[in-house]
Amino acid sequence: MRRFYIKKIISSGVILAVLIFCGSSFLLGTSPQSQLPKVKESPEKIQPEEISAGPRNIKEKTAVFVFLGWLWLSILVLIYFLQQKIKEVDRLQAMKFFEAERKFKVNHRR
Amino acid sequence: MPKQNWKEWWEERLGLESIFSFLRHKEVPRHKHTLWYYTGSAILVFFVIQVLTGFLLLLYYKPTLDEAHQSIQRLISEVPYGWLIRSIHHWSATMMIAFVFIHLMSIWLLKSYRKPRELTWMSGVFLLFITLGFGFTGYLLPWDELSLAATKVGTDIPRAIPLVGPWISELLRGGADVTGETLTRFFGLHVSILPMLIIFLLGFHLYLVQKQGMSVPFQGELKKEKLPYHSFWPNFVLRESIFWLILFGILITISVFFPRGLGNPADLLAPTPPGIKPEWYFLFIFQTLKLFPATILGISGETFAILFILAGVILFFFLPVIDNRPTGRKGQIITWAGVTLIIYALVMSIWSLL
Repeated sequence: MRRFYIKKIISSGVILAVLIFCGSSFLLGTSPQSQLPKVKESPEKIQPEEISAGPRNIKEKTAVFVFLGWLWLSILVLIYFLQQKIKEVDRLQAMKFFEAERKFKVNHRR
Repeated sequence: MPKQNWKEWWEERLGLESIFSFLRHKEVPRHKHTLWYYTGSAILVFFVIQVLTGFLLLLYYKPTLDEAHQSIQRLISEVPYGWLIRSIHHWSATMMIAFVFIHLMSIWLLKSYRKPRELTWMSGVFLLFITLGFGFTGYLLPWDELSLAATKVGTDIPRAIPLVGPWISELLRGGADVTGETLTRFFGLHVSILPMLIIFLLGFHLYLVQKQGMSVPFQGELKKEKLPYHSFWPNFVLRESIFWLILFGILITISVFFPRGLGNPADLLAPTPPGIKPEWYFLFIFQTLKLFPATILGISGETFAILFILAGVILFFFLPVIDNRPTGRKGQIITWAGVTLIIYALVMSIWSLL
């Protein structure tokens, strides 16, 4: 059952990474004009976002989206390892390993 | 030096083993509401991100009337990945405030504030206000049209408080109106006074959480049966780490896809434009203020509204004292009041956005 969930997490992670890459390619294709400051439409109406932020050039855009892909991949791998570690520490707790370890250390110090 | 000797060297000097031993023996109850325990540490994660990105922003930000807006513009358009750092700072603040609200409301609904955790709740309420203070003071720092207008409205609200109101407003503004003095004061509050307060209160709050231990659900306590538990270290911390990683991933993704832009430079002589709205976490209070008529029983509607909200805040702060019999009818009413408050805040916020 646990393995099923791990597989599910990894597969959804891969789908997410693919989506990010596809999304990035879509965004890379947008016009550079969209990054320029917009012209004020009306002097009375407030323009909350006059200077848009975001990657400045294609190199930075690519770097950011590649970083995002790697970030999610690393997170998924880390989650997998953490789950393995949780299994192990739960087993140790059930065996009262930490209690025994503490008693041993106290006796050892004496 | 062999690895074992290194360990002993550090242990002799720092004595970390006693801390780990304490954490290993700290128990975290396992039940269907355990998920809510994760919200507290999530706030801490966002706070750390805020501090780190805040340090980076400080390298470029200049808190003067002439340079504040320019420095932010330079940061997002010239400094490599400056826009991303600012965006992470903004979204992390948003998520931190959202988690503070979720954390407090989960404690309210689970009645975790009950004896002996009254002070934990009260310090938590103080932390909520400091967090909101961070949001309010940080909003002005880019010095654009929107932030200036919102600060004008925000610092004008305390004026309605009888006797001390105008003094509070002038203290915040550094004069009768929002000027460069206000910017300096808000910057000082944002990077010096509020961080000092939050570190002190956070330390006190965490000490209380460690001292009193994790609260168990109310129903579980009534049955007087010992719930199964995890050791805090490492069993619970490892589980929390998964949650932190997911939140971190979400934060970075949002920051990349929805970067925070910058408005036109603020003009002190320009009038406050109509339709100004505060950040989402102040919307329900803003909408509540708008609901009150101009005068009620001869008192100004605004004054009445402020006094009404202040009374609500005082009741919120003293909730553990008021809800002293959680099992009784009063306890049930207070739980439903919590649910009503959540619905009210959501409805008012949506209404304000429409």
